Amino acid sequence: MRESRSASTLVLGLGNPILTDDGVGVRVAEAVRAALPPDADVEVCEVSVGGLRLMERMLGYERVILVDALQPGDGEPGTLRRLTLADLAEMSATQHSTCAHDASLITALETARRMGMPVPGEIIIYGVAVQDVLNFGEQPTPAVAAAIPAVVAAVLAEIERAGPPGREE
Amino acid sequence: MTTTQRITIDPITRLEGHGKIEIFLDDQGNVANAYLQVPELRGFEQFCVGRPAEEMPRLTNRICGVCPEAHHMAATKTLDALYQVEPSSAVKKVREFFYSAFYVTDHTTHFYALGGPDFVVGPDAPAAERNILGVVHKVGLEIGKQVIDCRVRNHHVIQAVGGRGVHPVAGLPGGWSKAISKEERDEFEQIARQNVEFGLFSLKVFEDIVLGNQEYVDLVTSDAYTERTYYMGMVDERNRVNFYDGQVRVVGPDGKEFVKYHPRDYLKHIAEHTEPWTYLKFPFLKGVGWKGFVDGPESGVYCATPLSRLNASDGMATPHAQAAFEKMYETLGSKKVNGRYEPVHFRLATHWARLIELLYAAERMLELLQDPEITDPNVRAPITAKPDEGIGCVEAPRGTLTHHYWTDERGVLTRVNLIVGTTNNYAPIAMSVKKAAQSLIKKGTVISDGLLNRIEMAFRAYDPCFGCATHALPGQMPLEVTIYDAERSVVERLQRGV
Repeated sequence: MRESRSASTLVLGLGNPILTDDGVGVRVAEAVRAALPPDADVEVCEVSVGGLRLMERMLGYERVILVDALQPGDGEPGTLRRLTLADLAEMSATQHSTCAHDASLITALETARRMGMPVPGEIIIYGVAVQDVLNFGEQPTPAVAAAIPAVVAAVLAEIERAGPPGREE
Repeated sequence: MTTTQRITIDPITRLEGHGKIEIFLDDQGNVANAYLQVPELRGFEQFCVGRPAEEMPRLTNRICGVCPEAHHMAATKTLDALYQVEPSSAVKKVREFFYSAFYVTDHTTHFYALGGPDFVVGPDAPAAERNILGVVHKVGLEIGKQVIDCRVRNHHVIQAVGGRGVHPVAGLPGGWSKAISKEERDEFEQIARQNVEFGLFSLKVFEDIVLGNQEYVDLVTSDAYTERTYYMGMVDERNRVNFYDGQVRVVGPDGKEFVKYHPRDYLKHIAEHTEPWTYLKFPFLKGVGWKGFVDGPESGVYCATPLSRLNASDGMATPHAQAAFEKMYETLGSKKVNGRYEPVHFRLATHWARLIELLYAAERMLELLQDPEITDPNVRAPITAKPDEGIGCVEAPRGTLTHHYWTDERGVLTRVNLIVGTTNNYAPIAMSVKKAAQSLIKKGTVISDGLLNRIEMAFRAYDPCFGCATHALPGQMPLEVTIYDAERSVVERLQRGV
């Protein structure tokens, strides 16, 4: 839980940067940070956690944008999907939004909400369909690498989207 | 039982990297066999070769999003051995303090979010309620708040002492990059005291909810969840449980010490068995030999879990944890032989053992903070030796964790071998799952979600981390249980995405 917020929006790149395509969220976050003006009301961070730890990292922000890998089977590698928590609950978990060792992100957030913790008003998830999350390697596969600029642009556009954050969708 | 019916309990995930339990029935509808399958992540050793060994504490902790602290510490200790530098007692204390904070948060999370819901909410409750939210709903908001507070304050310690929140960076050969200041010590002491209270509270929760319910006591002590294997755990010079350092002790199913060895000698005592149906390798005791997936003194299968550590030890090194240790063994009917309790073989008692370890870790934090050396500013050591080969070992929450590196004289890695906590337990897990399935599924049994969950409970007691064991990023491994009839048609399927 954060004791003080430095920004109202948090961009979290999820994934393991040494597991080939699993690190796509981390790479997008790095590029988003580089593209933002220094005075942007946005914090950008890379983490490799799920479940409760992910929920705890999100507390205190008004809006959180997650970028994560979507497993093969969720479209051609590099395909981008914009998801809300409601989508996540209904269909497909992304790589890091669930955790076999504690709880899914949805359960974790609901637990926090029940306890009156400062859960973000809006949570958007950008999922990138990936090809290889089984081999260690520092570089994404070509299709995923090629998709990164478009994902970065989509996240930057999401950040720019006007209006006060509403309740999560 | 011959109709082909497919039930998907939890459709939220389509992840491919999930574990599978496959149960095969015979013509009579009884369980013929049960297998465990997990995804394989590849190439970690090759990824490491050619890199400087000093990167390993930061690289190996990237294997795992659940216990990076354990890999960080094992890698750091391996560098001590590789560069032949003995850390000062102050360094050892700082490391052990950091590591104890990690244990408090990890064991807390397992009990309240993963293992505990089976008892608090009930083993047959709908899957959607068997989670931390269900625990909060059942026991009250206050308990949820205590769990989250415990995690937050110990993550604060991990970040402050380890240099980074999730993937620590402070470990150096023979040292630690950052000393603990007196101000931090005072702050951490409050945290440690809260942890001790929380540990005592958690044991009380366990006693009230599990021991206070005869049905649960019967479940814990039932034959379906009992295996009489060898047990492994690290012990200090007085044979008490230690997570950070010591010798590896193995006791037999009767509790007698089978062997005690320095971790660097692991290859003399541990070998790996392979099976045609899985790429997993099953470690076993060389001194006993592989006799198949069977328990008993003639089988080299051993177990390395919280319960195993307690079974392999003579006791706990802190007072409250020792009292809880004695209570568990007395309550579960263990007799004292030559001053030691006989092992407890009930796999579900692992949850109880985990809470005793949580309390020990909390008390150990407090002890270490009260040692004046904990704020010694000298936490670095000069490196002079040429590296060659090093082995380092800690007790990870999920079992004994061993790192082994070979380098050239520049310290560039030429070979890497890791035996991670869960790997030790492959054979016992496979055996426990099969036994639970055989005990619970009989001809004509209606396969319900609750029944499959009771099989999964045999698996969950180990808190297996297959991602890590197969060198994957773990913590995202959903589990699928499939039952096939004698014609290999799917009878039932359960998927769990959380």
